Amino acid sequence: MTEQTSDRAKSNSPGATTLGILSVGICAGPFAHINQFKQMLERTPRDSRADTAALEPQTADIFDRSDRPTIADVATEALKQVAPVATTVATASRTALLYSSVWGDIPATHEYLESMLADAGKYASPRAFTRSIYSTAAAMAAIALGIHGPCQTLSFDFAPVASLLGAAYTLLAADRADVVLLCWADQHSQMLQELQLLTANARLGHTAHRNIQQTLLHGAVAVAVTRCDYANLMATCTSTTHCPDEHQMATIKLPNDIQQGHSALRLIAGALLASNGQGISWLDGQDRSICRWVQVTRLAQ
Amino acid sequence: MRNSLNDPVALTGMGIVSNQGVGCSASWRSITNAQEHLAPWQQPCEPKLAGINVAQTPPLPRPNDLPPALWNSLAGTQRLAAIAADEALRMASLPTRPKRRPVPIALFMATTVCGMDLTEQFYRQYRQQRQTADIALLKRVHPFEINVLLAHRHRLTGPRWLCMSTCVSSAMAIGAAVDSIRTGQANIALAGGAEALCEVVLSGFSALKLVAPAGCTPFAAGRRGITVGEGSAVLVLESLASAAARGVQPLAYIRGVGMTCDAYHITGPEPTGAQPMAAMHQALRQAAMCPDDIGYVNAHGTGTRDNDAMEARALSTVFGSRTQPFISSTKRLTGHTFAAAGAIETVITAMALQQDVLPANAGAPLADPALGVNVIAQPTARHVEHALTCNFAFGGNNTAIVISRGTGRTWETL
Repeated sequence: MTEQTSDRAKSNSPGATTLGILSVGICAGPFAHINQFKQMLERTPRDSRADTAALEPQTADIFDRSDRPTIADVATEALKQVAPVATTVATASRTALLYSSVWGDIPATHEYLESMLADAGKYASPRAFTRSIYSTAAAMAAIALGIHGPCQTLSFDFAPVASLLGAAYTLLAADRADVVLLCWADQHSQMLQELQLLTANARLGHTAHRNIQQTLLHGAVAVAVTRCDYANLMATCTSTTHCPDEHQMATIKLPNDIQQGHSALRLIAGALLASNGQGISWLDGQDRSICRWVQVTRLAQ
Repeated sequence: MRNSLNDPVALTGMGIVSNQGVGCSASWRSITNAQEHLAPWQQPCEPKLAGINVAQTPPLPRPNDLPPALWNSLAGTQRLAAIAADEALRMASLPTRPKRRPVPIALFMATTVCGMDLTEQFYRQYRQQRQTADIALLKRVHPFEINVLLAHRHRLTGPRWLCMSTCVSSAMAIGAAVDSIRTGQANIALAGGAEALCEVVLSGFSALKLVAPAGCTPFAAGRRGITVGEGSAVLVLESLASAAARGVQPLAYIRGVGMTCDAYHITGPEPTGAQPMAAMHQALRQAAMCPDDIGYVNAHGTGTRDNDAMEARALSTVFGSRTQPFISSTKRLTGHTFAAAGAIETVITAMALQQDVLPANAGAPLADPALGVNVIAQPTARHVEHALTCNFAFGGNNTAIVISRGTGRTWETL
């Protein structure tokens, strides 16, 4: 849009779904807390080449313990940052959790496969099996936060942010929740690195190739959303069959790492930086003729 | 067009594949005869898994439009979903391979094992010789590959996601379809789940000591655990206006869907059943019904000690002892199909309402007296207007769906 959306009625135009953003959180790379991420954004000149090491996987350093943090640990940590605001708006039974991961707990899956195949399965590990289940991270976060609303683990073949925001919109519109906590999480692992290398060499012309190779989050990002009437910060998702001009809004420049990284990073960066005049808009994914866009804007006070 | 949040949603097509058969007709004949088709898992890597009965589907017919090379490269879950989706679309009088659809159709599917059968094959090769492992096996391991196949094959361009919340996943998919239709985001949606047998699941549940080697006995005093199964069910759901405009009579109606979370334990249910009860009440509230309106409950009834005790407590509390509806679990017949269970049991319940026959609690004609529930000992002729299906999952996820009889059209009159 050439002009920022100026009121909520406009932001609810047909074909678009709009949610209010209450709070954002992160536990990824060197960022144990959203405040550190915000400081990095403020430090980095918008039009500069960013420090490409900023989002390298260093999550292990965040946790003061000897064993490696799991995907459930980082997801719970990010969600804990957004949960306090959510509790001011909704009760436990009116809070929902939507969790998404491209690969789940790969180290646990690897560990279970190994324990199953070694020694004829004599030492098949029930603990690794439980952790290898995709939804375990969401379940652990729900337990940690005491969430009694719908708790769903979802997967998308494209547009991970627009799709999860869309699922949240449905829960809110259907009056199943007053607040929805969203979390995108993935985990760096040696196994995944090897698979990325093997598939790159094999040049598989297929979705799986694209997704093994795609930029992973290596940590977790969390966002608390609600109906657009209750917040001044908006995330709007639009589904189109072509690239429309209206999405060419006044856009804040982001550091390269974030611009080129997982789009959940753009969502939280947009939430932190959006001002009355500028926001962030991006094509979140495309599947044949369908384009899914996300736009983050702040309404005029 | 936005509908009321209490509007019934029409079920206009359904497809099912399980060890009971391929398609509604074959499955229903087998289910009403309470025929068990359990057999030992054939290719265990772990010797201790040999002899454990599982519920495996019969050989699947390859759809004509999928070439043999492609069909053979698909993950088991994709093949199962493809068969069920074909049947559902045909039953709903929707073209299976259109060039263009007049309205976008949403897609909400579910799986937990995804392409684990292919992952197992790959990993066996990989741990022997990393450089020569067939990387092409990884082409279709990801869960969303089910959606990719269905969306592209059937030109489904509406909202889509895939749910991986274990045993409630496809019930959640049905809930999402209902919500999308009621809130005007879709007029028509496909919802369902698919789960293929693989050694990881059998081995994992065996490691957790939750498998009954001979077969599950839901609600029985001596219940020992689950029967691992595979299968798929897909439903075509649409707004009443859409069904009427297309001239398709509903086979049944989805009236309410409840979803809650225990937030209690990773694998075990919260013993009082408070949140499962909340899910049942939510579904009833959406349907504008009271417990007395429900004539049949298709229970989750996995055959594990803790699930069945919790579920019996929840059902007894919600329905009371005097007005208790007919209750059965069909898990001994179909096996526990995990992410596909909610959709498979919704289809079975819709068929039961249509045919005026309630399926038996196979494997256990008498419930444990300590549980305080009565189960259907054998297939029973009974006219029921409204039914409830319940599903519960690892992580404490709970769902309940209220289903009502349709207009009298059955899949057999097609």
